[in-house]
Amino acid sequence: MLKPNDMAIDSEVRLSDGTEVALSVLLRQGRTMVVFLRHFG
Amino acid sequence: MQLHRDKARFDALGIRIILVGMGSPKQAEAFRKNHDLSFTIICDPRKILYKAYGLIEAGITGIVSPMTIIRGIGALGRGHLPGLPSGDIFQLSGIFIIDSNMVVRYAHYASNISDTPSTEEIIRAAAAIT
Repeated sequence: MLKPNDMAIDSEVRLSDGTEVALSVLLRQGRTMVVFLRHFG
Repeated sequence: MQLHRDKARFDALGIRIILVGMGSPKQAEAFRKNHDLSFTIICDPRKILYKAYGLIEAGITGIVSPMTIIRGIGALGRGHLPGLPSGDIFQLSGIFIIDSNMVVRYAHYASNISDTPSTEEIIRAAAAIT
């Protein structure tokens, strides 16, 4: 069974509405590393 | 912040870094100033992006376990003081590299609150992306 890390590889980023639009605009500008934090600290 | 210290290495690979956090814009701005960051920060208090990327919440063992305690002490020893929790304290982190075709080329889903890939691992993965 694939682990989540492997399952995500090659998947297309899903972009629909709201907050995702902000990210989609940035992603279209080129290769991007998105870092999800636990908190701003 | 380790990523900020290594920003030039990601710049050299043509990779832009975006941070996503659950806090408010005010908290994000304080965070940016405290760490002197130049990254773009997206505030996602409703966790829309966290859910879209499949990031899950930790169980209690993902927060308090021998491994998280040991790593936490190690981080303190290196001078990394934990920030005040904000948003969902059970939410786990994650890192994704997405290419210009909007395809995920590297993914790391944290399995607990101390599970963070090394910069070297991320750089290796990023360098392998054509």
